[in-house]
Amino acid sequence: MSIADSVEDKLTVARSRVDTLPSVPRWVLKGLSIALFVATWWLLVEIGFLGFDLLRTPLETAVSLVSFIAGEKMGQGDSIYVHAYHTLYRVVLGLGLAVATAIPLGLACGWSDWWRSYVYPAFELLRPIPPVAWVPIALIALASEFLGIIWVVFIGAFFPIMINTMEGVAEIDAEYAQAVKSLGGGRWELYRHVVIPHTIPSMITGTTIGVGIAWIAVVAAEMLSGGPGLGYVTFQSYRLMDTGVVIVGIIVLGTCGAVSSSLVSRVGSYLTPWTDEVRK
Amino acid sequence: MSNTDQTATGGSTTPNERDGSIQMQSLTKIYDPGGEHVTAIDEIDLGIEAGEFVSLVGPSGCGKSTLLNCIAGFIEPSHGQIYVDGNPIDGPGADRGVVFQENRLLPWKTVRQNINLGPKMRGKIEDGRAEELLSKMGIEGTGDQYPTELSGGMQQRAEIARLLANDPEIMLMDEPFSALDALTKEIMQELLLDIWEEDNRTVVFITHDVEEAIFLADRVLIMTAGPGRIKEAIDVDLERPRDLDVTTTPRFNELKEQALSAIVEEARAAMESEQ
Repeated sequence: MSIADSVEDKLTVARSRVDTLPSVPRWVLKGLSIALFVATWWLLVEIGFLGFDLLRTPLETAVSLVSFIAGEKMGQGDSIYVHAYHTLYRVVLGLGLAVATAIPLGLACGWSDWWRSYVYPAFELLRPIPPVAWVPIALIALASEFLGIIWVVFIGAFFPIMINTMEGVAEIDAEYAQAVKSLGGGRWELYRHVVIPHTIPSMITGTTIGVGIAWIAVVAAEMLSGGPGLGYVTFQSYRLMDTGVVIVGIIVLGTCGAVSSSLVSRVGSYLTPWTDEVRK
Repeated sequence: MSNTDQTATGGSTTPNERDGSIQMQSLTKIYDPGGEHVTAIDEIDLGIEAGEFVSLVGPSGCGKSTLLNCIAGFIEPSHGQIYVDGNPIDGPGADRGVVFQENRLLPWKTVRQNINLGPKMRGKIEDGRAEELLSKMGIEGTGDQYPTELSGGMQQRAEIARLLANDPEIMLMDEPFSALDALTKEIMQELLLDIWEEDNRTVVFITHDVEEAIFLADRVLIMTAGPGRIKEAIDVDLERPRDLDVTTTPRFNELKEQALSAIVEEARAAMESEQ
């Protein structure tokens, strides 16, 4: 037996021993990571690092979170549910409008040279403007806080969805179009059986990015325009130095953002079963 | 180039008289990348009878695929005309089904949805037809899978099933088996012949494999190395139905010699003209 072989054998034995050791469950590792984060937070507040002494400890935060969830009024006198409802309503409406307009426009501009040459340039002009920069003009021009915020959410979500859809259309293989035409399909069938299904994954990617921007936009717009809303109450409490509400606001916003993006990706994988099959 | 024997026997076994003749008149395609004219196919006059199985072979770059794409209607010829059953073609159509080298099943549709696509678009969907075709192609039970879950050979079977579901008079096949391993390829060749014997569709089959061309076809057309013309037509007088045993007969080898010498001549000419 060569040296290489004997080393190989020893390695195999060693590996099997390691394999038989009970491995640390995944949830323990995840829990450790979270525990470390909470501990750091606590420590920073306790030692008063920079301005951290003005914040609440994790325990105090948890207590106030529970009491708000139980229905205690926050800030101006609305419950967490009223604030969350307003913010959520704006996000859903703005995002819904963005999806409903950006997808058809993206399909048209991606597929047709005419749309790309004569319609798209106008959008290209607005695209580089950061969504939050729209807040002042939207509040003035639309003459209402509600419509102003909706516009900012809409415009923030609109471009990622439209651009991703356009790019998705541009990636279509001419071969699929040929295949459908040879089977007797016309222009409409090409749209229905090739262009749209091919582009669904790109639409979902765009919408996932759009949801993230919609939350950024809604919080910024609410901070500037007024309440009720999670962004408003968080900012208002900062002015009143009610740091308990500020932290709870952040937690609730973060949770809403996470839930909504996981919702989009769930709907996405439901709509694209063929990509799941590839992953298997 | 008379092929009356085979087409006559083919015709009599067909339940319904089927059309699908192809006529090409001075068919020419000139590509013009940046002002530099490249003649892919040059003044091709060619007639293919209804129900005939024709193989096209030739050195790479001889315009085989251009010719096939013109018949399919994907490419518009620079001049000349193609007639199917006497009518000039206008773009792709359901009368000419195409099978490509790489499968073009729609990845977002299941195998069954792919097979039903043609009939569905033409409003002629039949219950159970997809299952029937799947079992005919030897891939029963794959109807609910997505194309990417199948092996290369199974994908080609599914693609042929999709073509058959549409019942075209003409099957255009562009090196359909060249990406398959040798064994799968042989199985697919025999399967294709079985299907063809059954309903005698007109087949135009492109390949760079001379043995495959002879084994399958009634007539092997050898193309010149660019600009593409038909250099030679070899009538394959091997008895049908054929199985792979025919490839070991002396007659098969004679035909193969004849085809190979023509191709080698062309390949040499092509290399010399490049130098």
